[in-house]
Amino acid sequence: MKIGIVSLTGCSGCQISLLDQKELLGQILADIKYATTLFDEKELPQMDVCLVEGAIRNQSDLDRLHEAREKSEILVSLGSCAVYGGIQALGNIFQSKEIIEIVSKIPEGNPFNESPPLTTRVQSVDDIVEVDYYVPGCPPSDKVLEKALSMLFLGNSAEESKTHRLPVCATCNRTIKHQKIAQLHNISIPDPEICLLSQGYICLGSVTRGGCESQCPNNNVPCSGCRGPTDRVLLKPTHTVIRDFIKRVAHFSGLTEEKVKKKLMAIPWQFYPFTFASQTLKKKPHSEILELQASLSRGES
Amino acid sequence: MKTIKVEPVTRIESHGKLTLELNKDGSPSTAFFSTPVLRGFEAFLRGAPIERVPWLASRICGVCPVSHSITSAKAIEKALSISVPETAEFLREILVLSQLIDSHALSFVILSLPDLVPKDNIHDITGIKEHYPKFFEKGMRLHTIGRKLTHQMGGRNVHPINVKIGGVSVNPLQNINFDITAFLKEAMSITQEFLANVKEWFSQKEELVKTVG
Repeated sequence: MKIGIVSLTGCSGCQISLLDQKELLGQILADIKYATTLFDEKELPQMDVCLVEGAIRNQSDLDRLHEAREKSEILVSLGSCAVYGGIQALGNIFQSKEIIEIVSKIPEGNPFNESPPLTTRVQSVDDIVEVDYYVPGCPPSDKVLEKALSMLFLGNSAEESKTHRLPVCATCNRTIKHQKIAQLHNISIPDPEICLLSQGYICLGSVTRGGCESQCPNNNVPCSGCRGPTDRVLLKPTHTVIRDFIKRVAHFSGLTEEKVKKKLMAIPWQFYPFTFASQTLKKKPHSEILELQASLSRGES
Repeated sequence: MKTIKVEPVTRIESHGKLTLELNKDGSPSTAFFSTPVLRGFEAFLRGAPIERVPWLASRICGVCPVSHSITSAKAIEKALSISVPETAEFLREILVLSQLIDSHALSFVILSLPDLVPKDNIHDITGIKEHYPKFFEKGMRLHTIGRKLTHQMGGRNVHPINVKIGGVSVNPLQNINFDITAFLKEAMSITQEFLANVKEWFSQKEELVKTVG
């Protein structure tokens, strides 16, 4: 089998998490024909499986992605950047020339002089080419990666993972407590036992895909939605991250949905930090992404 | 004048592009290394809720996420005159040092070692695996130790979440299922073993070593 790892605009963290799969990596190391972090090969070969990490931010990403698709039988979107556009998609709040303008003001000198021209907006991989498999996560958790890779490379049968279909809350150890939320955007030190949402933290666990063993809430940190939305939010037309979240907070807090929405939309930045470029989410009939993009571009946050 | 472009620069952490300009006699006149990945964190982190910044800034780099997470927290703490308790400072320091172990293991063993061992036909880590299996295993073990420590101290496999404005989110030493001291001792002995051999390898590749910074 010929394997390639193509790295587009991103942090390369997915490749680092691949290195954590040492047992599996030992078995497939000789099959990896292209991975610029590990090997010297500069030309993309014909591949059976191509893992793509990162999002499309510049012309060179675009060219390499088209080439990768042409030369691979199976193309896998690895990590939230490839699947949803990732954190750099927040750059879509700006026009690309505005980003260049801001960056060129860095006092130590602009290290990006030689960058390929930016595309007008950040896009996910499936916005450009057809994708065969998706492995979301920033980065994908060890267990998810192990399953995905052993399915792809060792021919193990794809085991149906239940937690993958459930929200992050499914594996969270905290207890839900119905109580009046004093502060909707709480940033003090959380109680380690009680559900973060019931304490007024913006924890996206209920609308985020599980499979991460709820590492963030179990470490006293609210979920920031790095694995993208649950199937329910992704597939059902009337559900969106913000809508579902507001409904839940209203239910917990006893406030009306309008009131909650008014308060939370004042800090809209945090609902799509990893999925802002997702066309699937953007094209939903009630999607707030375009609305958010417009208000953030006007500097209303 | 001739220009040589190397893109992508391989076996480095993240992306790189090298542009060399040569004089008529073939000697290099200028060399320019750039990182052609512009994302604009400087732009879109403006207006972000500060409590989230350390988790989001870590996404600048997947190889050294800890550094970006901690420096962004420090910047905010400085701006708001927040002091961090001594214990949290220690825990952050262990986190930074653990990243140092895995990052050095990656840089030295996986990326650079193929150039430094005496055998000439080795170009990448597969060559190390084949011709120096003992060092391959040891190097991988060193990397694993660093990764396990970073995971434990940071709470997550790559981008840590345990850095919070004003300190840390949780005491990572509470639920630890391995012996941290034994791990560090093992890492130390592996490193010493590498160092002992590196001296000998380098003596056989003097010309090359002189060109390495």
